[in-house]
Amino acid sequence: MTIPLRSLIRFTGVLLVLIAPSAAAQRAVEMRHAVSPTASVRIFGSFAELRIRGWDRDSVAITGTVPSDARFDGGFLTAGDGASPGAKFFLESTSGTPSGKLELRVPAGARVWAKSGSATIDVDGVTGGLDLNIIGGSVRVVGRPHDLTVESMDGSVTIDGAPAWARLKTATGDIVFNGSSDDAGLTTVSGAVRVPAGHFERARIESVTGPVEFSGGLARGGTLDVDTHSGSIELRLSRKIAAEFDVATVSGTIENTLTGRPPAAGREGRGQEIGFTTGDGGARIYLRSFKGNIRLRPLPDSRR
Amino acid sequence: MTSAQLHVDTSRLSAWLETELSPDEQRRVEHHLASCAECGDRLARLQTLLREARSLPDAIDPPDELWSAVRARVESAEPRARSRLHLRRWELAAAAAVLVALTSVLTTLVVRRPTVVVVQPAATPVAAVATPFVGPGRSIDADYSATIRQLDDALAEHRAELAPATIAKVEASLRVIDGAITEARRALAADPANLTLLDILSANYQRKLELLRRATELPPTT
Repeated sequence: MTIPLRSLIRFTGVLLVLIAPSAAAQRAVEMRHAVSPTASVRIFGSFAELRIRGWDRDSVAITGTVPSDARFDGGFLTAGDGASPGAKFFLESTSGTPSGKLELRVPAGARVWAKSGSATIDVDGVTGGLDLNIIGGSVRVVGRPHDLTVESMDGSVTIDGAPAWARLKTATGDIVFNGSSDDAGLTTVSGAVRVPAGHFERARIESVTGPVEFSGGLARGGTLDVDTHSGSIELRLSRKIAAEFDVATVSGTIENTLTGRPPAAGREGRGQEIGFTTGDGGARIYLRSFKGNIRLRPLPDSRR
Repeated sequence: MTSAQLHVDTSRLSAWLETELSPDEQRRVEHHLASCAECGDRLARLQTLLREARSLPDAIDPPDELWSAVRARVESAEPRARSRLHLRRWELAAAAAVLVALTSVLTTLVVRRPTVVVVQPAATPVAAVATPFVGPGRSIDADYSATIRQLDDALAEHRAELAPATIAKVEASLRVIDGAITEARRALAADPANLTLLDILSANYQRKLELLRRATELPPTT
């Protein structure tokens, strides 16, 4: 098959017109500097993707590509003759649309603060502090940050790790916490909250309409508080758990196949409530709903 | 039985104050209080807290920039309060409101920042002020409504800087919370002594406060 030369030239021209602007529209970003092991790093602006990686070097490196017409500012704080105590980066796109892919490498013990509109933020290996704020998109955190705060509107939040202290808040975004924590607070308006596994010293889960599923374990003396307005609550627990249960719903129902003990009618015959102790107590489980149904179920024996 | 098990926990003390317990239970707690200094101390602290909450002014005006600090203080205080005292949510809410009020007063004295000027009506009406309310729920309404109104106003000022899609998301979630508040208030009006309902109403208000606070802190053009 032969292609007429004129068609080939025209096709190549069109291709160049299509490719050239996008190739020219991006520019590389690269900044590096020595910082203290516990440096504070703030990044703010309209990035679309941000990868944050903790590493075992006392330096910060930010690399990636941003639109050529975007304003990317940044700098490192100075502190006498020592390493920089921190850095700040700012990305502003002319269109206002999130764009730019950035990778931020920080000392593992650093504190990182990131805020964007709609973005995908992926974090791994930070053992210091994380404060991440988005409207849409998603946040995923892997590892053991000392303290973790994530706030999102409709962006989803996924944790695969063990932050010592965690506060995760969404409006409609789902929250999945697959890990452990000494002190975890998960709050949503209408997103789903799932805790498929893990071990908690103190956990508090709140929703307005979003369903809550908890299949984690509790430390001896630990507490689990769940309250929801109309979301369902489903707890799957080991039959061996030693805990005091205090469960009530104003107008929903309670189903207890964990111990088989039936619930009693609530105040003035409305709703249901149940209280009992398994083992020798120790942990405390407090569940409340207005009209969300509550289920207490045993984990399969193989799980615990 | 250990001595700790003989003590009356704070939720039962609270119920005793509200005469929520059965007559037998009321008598048992009263009998215990007569001979236990530790529980007597806790009762006195609880009464002080409730008295302070009741004496709060109707208008609580937290400066925007204090939210993070207040939130941090409330959140850091909450786990300790829960683990030692097992305070009910509405009691914590009262404590948080006291904290907000005190911080606000101090800041006003020190900074004397100008009052926020309201340039347009609040985007989301405050459900709490829709109908008169009696009983303990009224105190919760009073604690939250002024602060919510302030944040509503701040959001109204900020909304021109936000993307329409973001405003739509915020307002959709506020409607969900307002619906829940309305439902809880109606139920509480029919059963004013129901502490579970007080907790649920208070929780819904806290979620609304939190969402409004977050919305007012969103960066422009997002």
